[in-house]
Amino acid sequence: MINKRGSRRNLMIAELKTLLNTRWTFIVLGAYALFSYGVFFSEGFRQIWVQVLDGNLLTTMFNLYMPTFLFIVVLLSAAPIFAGDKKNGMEELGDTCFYGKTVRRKAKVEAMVLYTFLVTIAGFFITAMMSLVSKSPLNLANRAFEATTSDVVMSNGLFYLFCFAMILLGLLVVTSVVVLSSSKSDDVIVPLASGILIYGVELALYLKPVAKILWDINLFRMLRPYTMLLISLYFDSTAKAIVASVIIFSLLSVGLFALTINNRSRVKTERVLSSQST
Amino acid sequence: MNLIGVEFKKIISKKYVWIIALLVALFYAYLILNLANNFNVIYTKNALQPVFDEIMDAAYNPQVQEYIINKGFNVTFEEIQPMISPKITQTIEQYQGKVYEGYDVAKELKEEAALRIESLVERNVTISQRIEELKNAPDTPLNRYLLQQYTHMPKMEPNLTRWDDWIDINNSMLPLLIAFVIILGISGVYTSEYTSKMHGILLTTKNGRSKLFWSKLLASCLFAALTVIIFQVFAALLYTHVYGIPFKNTPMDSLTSFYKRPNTMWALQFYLCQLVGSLLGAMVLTAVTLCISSFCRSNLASFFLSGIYFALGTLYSQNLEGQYISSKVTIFADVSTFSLMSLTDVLGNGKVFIVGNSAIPTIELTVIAQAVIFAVALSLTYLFYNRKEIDA
Repeated sequence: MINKRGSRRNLMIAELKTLLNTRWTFIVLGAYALFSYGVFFSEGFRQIWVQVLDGNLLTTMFNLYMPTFLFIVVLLSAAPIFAGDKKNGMEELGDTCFYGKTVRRKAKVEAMVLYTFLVTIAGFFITAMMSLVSKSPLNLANRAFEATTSDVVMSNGLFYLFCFAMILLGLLVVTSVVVLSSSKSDDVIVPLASGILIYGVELALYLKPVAKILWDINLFRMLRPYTMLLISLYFDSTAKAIVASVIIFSLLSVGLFALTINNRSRVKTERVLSSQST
Repeated sequence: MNLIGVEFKKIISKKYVWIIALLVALFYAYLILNLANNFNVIYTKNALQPVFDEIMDAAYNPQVQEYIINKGFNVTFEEIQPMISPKITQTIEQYQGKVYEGYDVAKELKEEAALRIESLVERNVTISQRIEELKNAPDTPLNRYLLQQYTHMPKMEPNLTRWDDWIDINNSMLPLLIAFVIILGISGVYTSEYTSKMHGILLTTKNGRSKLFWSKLLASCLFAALTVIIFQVFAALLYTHVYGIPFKNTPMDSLTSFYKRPNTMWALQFYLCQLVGSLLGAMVLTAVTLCISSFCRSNLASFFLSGIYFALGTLYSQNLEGQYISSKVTIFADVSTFSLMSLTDVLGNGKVFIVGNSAIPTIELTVIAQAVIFAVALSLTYLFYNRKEIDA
């Protein structure tokens, strides 16, 4: 595809622009900016609503609050990506185009991955800016969670990078589940409910550790990165638990994205049946 | 089939509602059934239930009480054994030599029996001291309320009845699951009409939309009630399998979770209140979801906003557990739909809201606030849905 306007990259950028322009992105990120403004600038707000972690506001925001807002943004943007098209009757129209089905699906998935990355950066950027403007001490060189006895020791600066990587991976897993669900359904509620269900199940498994392995390799822990440093129930060290989580969740999200892109069984079957009857 | 039947069929014919409800129920069952092999579930309380009366007698025996008080509420079974009924020892000795998951069952049961007696004595002493303190305390509405409640509490019993676990059913998880399924089923009731352009077409019909409004409302309430009943029955069956049915009723103040709470209710009475609360809360949630659905143009927005409405009340309420005073800040959590569906925090902890010279039980405010929300939500739904109605 060398045509500039019809290239795959162009298609992906068009999808990305659509995602970035959704009102939910602005509403939720705006709500987060407002919330973080309250946290960094208002002592009263902080005392009533915020539970400070490790005596550090930036750590608190990155671990306890920002991931929830980012989860909501990703969920609301990913849910209608395929299901919305089906509802409007655009799915089959797209399929009739020369570069329709697979290329368009690929472009949508790529756009969603890039969107997740950009939204994560936006979340970190907003928080960091609030912290800098409010002149809260960053203490980047200090050890993160000094009071704990974790076998993974890192400075605050390195810990923030770790948070970024874990949150991004966690959000990509959410995205992969929601996007796959969206490609299988024609109602937006289904992918939305799937995302919430996954999050709820992981939260319940975190709060009630009925199976140690499911507690260690847990999506909720990915979205609360500090919990990954503190303790491991199944593995003999937290480092092993982190590595196992990263490998399993990376494979899972890649697998789910691949399934979404190659999801053409229904239409294919219908076409085969139709030609047989003819 | 009448209109209500058609509307109800439309709600329950959504396959995804049933699939997700099934997944949710299976996961809930997995969590609860996993507790079944726990040592505490199998032995701790069950083994001591046959000597419930003897343990209670021991805790109210003046000689035992004096000994435990003198020892600073820290005694072993062997120390109090000569003063208590031999039936307790005989019951425990049946488990002599038995080991479960590395636990010496007889040894654990002896510790548990001593703990139950000691804890009951300590609780009674603490409550008596608290009553004395309150009698000498300044005459404030809160002190008057606490004194009234503490002096009218039923006689405390050993916490061996399993009511702790049964009351925990509606603490947080079950209300969340019920709400999730209700929102899932109902959030598209009006928005689907807008999406399919049916909303405009209805204007050309003889009865317009107003008749349909009541059918949709009743069908949605029926669906919500059915969801509550199915999940409550399912949870009760699971708990019966894991913990068994409590062998007797017990005062709420006997349960560890409600120790020192100004609550004069009995456990069965409280559990029944929770069931009613669950049903009423589901109705309010239905009204709010319908209201949101009636002004949203997409299922996404309707589902999301309804979820946010319930989730905010839940999160706020969960952060306040364990207090018995509602303040101007916490009252929004206390009157939330989640609080009505759970009742553990508001009614279980005997919460009160102090206004001027009187202490109002928070549960009354919760019920009033939810009734107002229900009425306002329905009125707004009617307004939003019928705003383009053509008069005959």
